Amino acid sequence: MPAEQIQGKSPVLLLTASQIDEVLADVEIQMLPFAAEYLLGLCAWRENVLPIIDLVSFFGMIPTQKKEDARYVVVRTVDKNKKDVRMILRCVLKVSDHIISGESPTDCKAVLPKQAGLQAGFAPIFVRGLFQREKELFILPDIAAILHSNST
Amino acid sequence: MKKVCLVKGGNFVLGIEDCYILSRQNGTLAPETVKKKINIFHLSSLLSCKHCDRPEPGSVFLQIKKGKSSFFLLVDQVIDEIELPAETTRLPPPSPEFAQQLFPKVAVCMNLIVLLLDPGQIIPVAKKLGPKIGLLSPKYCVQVQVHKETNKQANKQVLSVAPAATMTENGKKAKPVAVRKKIKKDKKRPKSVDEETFKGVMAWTIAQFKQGKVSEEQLSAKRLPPGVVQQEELSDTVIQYLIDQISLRCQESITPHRPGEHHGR
Repeated sequence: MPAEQIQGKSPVLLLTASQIDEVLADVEIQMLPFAAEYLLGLCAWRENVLPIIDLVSFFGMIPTQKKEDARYVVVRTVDKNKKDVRMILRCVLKVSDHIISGESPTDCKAVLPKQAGLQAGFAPIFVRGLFQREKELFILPDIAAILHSNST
Repeated sequence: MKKVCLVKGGNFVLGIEDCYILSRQNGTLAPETVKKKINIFHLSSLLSCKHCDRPEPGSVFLQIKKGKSSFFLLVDQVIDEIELPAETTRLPPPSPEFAQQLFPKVAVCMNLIVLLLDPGQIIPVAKKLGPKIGLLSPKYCVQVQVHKETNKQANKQVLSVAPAATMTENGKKAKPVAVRKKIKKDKKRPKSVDEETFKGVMAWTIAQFKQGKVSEEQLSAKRLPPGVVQQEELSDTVIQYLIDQISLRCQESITPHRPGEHHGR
């Protein structure tokens, strides 16, 4: 995640492999009027219109000063707002190019946002869990909740 | 298939169905048209929630009519005319409400996203955005064409009235002096803000400052990440007041004091 360290730990996003449809090196961003800073715009992906979200900005973290190449991850989730029908929602997350595929980390412990040293503005309702180990702070974003947040 | 006119306003590109465009005029409107007191909207200013300063040279007036709604729309550029498939979709979440209202339909054509403007929503949205937002003063409607010739003179005028921007220690531009004065004069006390909200807004404002994001737009309450303000019935005005006060303190802390300058506490 292209964000500065928090209490000496690098923030890392955790996504399940089945959530990821594609990793793109670049996207053509169409700007969207009235959008909040974290909503970078829209892009066309396989004839679908998807929002592009910068989670560093969404979670109110400070982006790293180091110049990193961005990647755009197409992720999907189930729409929680539709109780009768199972609707798939998709979005594109702007992340750093440091992407690792592997087993979920086990040598870590669950923490609360305050314990992790996250800003007071960090909203726990948009995460499914926070875990930390020696050098990393793992964040499990709740993509459905993020997509249903009001971006104005 | 729908025939759509692709237009540009500021950083945004959108489509307007050809059937809603009655006429196009480059540069100026006839004085008798301006006298009719029809609303004239400046697309770029409307979509950026700003007052229109001065339209770009080469802008195009589009006369738009949908139902009872009739107005002129000044766009920076008419890019192209394209044919779109009849199949459209809606803006995906978390698109802002105003965008959903103005662009109820979106189409994808050759990997290009076209936001289809509903002309019937321009006036209601502009009213909600605030007085004069997006509206173009009639004086510019007959001056756009001569803008190029008078550009030098206009720039001189702009320079003489523009508030001086101050530089911080980092060499980054701080808020203009005029904006600061306005904040200081505003002695009205807002409704109280709970501690959680205060801490959240403060942390966000300081973070914006650290990143050099100090413009009015970058320090707007509308840019706060979701979840920062959990307190109910707290108006944007109160939150903006809080941000302005915190940013004022941030400015004061990074602006070196002049020798002999004292601040009373």
